[in-house]
Amino acid sequence: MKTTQKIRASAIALILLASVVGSLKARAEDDLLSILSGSGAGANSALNQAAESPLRKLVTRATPEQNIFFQFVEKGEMDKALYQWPTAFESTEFGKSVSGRALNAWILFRNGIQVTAVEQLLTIDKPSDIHPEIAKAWKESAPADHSVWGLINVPNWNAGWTDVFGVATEVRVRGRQIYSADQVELIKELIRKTQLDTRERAWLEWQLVLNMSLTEDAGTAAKALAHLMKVKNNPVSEDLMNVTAARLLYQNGFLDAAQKYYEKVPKASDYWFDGQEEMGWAFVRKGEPQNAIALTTTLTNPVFASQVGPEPIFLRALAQLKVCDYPGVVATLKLFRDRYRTRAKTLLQIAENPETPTTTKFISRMKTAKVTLKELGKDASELPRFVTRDEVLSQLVQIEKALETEGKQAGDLYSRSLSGGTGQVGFQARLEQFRQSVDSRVRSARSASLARVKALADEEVNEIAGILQKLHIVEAEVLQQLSLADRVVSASATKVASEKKGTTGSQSKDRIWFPAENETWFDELANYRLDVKKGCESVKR
Amino acid sequence: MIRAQFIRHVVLTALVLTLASNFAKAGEASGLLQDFDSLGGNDVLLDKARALNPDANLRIVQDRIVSRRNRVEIAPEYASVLGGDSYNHTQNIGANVHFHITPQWSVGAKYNYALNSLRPEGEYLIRDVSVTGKGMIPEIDYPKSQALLMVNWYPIYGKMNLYDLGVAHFDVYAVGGAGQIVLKSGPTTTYTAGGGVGFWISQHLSTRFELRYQTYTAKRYTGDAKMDTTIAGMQIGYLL
Repeated sequence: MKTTQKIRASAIALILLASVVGSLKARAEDDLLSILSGSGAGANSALNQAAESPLRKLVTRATPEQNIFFQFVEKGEMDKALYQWPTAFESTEFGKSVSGRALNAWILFRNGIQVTAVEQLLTIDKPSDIHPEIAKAWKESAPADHSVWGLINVPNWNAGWTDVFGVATEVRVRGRQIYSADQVELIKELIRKTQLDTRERAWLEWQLVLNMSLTEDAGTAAKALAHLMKVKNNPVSEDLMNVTAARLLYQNGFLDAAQKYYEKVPKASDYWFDGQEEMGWAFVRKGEPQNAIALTTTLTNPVFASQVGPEPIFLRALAQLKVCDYPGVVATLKLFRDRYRTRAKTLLQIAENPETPTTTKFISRMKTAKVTLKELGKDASELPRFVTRDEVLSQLVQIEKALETEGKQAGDLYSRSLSGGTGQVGFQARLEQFRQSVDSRVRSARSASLARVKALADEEVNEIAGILQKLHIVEAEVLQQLSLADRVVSASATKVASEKKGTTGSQSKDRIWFPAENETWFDELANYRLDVKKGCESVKR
Repeated sequence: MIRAQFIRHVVLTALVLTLASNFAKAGEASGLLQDFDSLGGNDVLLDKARALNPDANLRIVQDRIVSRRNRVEIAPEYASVLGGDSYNHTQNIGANVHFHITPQWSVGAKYNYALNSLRPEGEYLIRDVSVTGKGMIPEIDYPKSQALLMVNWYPIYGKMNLYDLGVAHFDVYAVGGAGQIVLKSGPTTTYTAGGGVGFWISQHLSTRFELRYQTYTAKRYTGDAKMDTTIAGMQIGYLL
């Protein structure tokens, strides 16, 4: 009995032991299976403690090389994942598929090669075929406010990308593409897609204002601008909006109202010179040439020679002609000749070869921060006038900067790959090829920036040539009037002298007056006032 | 053969067009520069229309850099009294409050505390024992303090360049006032009038240099003595 009991007890103990051992063995087998199949929590807990990447769902049966790739992704070792890519996917069907291309681009993006990666991604024709997990990874990595969307160059936006990246991204990319005046409907369509009070909507409204003002729909443009000026989340500068509002009013003949808007532009603004010049034209149209002369006294001051265009000189000559200040007209013509002959020569040289030391220095400065006209200092005389506020140039320089960063990053990845890559050989050559391709894009971007500087120089030369022709006409008019001077003198000899009182300068009740002398005091600029007596009349004082 | 001729023809045409374009560009450029030379060369004819030339008066009309309308200025002061009692030298330290009604007018108050010391003549008199066998103490009715109400008128303005660091406006002003001066003998009425220059250095900082005539009556053993003094002072002010 005792023996039987002992045998039974031993059997039970053996059964229990066997079941325990069996269950332990089963668990170990489960872990191993899950690791090998690349699924289940066991893979991660046993190997790297990292969260399992949903990207593993992309391949049904992962090869060992693909497993290594996914493990790198899960650990966040994106550089190693990039090195692993060719051996894991390059010769596979997945590697060539839409999802494979999107994944490859994503790995590049995560390695800091962002512009290239996004442009590579957007070459995919059918975004809807991309696996949802990759699309999700992309959306998380490149949200609508990511700087890369402001840097990529995409000729046509595929509507399928809107489903992946959202409307805000579409608007950011497409909003930059709009330049021509016949795309009002396209802009309106984009506006409808945007949310209220967003930067994207404000930017598109601004595009709408510009386009409508070009298509003679100034009234609607003014209404749209009035609304835009109240929007808080607005990427357009207040000065530019004020100048635009003034232009719309001027265009429609509301000269006084236009002047009020021009006056809102502060002296520190890059648009101040434009505002002053256009205000001068408004004075001429109002029959107040004395005020136009007063304003152009500032604009033609030698200290602003490189910041102000040639048009204020034409405006001044015309205003002087209107008050029969013939010596003044001739002095202004000579001023233009002396100043713009040199300027035209400089610009012609830039147009011939834009890669000058000053241009190179300016582009380098633009890469670090936006440079204002004031900050240019002496360099302004050796650059086209609009370099500081040309959106296209600014965009090109930023692209150049981004690509330079990518070039450095590619070089860094290449050098690290020599020691930190996988056991495979041959992928360095591909990486080197890629690095060279990025370098080549950097050179292209630099060429594009220089081409834009050249275009700006050409534009300014044409502007100078145009004003020169107009001034020849003014000179001819002077000669014509001089030939009739005797008749005017005799006809006006008995008249009472008329007086045109100036209204420019300070309007404050505590204003102070100083005589204008040849010496220029900086605080006096933009504070000139001119009173003209007996213009075009031969009367006794 | 035909193909080779065609290619040669195309290459030659392209070469000619490129050269022509370059020459055209160079021509345009030199034409533009030459066009400048012919501009503004007819001033010899201007005498014909001299009678029509306008009388043009170009002036600068600008804001005051420092607006003083309805502003208060608090200005500590140091002044030295020139003239007055022969044996006594007085230096004043004090403070002024100016209320600027307009840039042309301000009213205010002045309080000065007097620091007196003997002039060399007074010290000599005390030390000189040759006449009476002992030194004489001079009779001085010295000032202790004063408080005045002031009016300033700023009729002349100007500006100066501060070594190219900036421009400061200044006003030349006339000042007048009346108040009470406390002498050793007791309080008495005083009147003052003078002028000065005020520099408005920044929105809050000002400096004044002032020269005033001030009169009051001092008491002596022999009777009242009218004191005519000249006060040279400097104020550094803070504009609220």
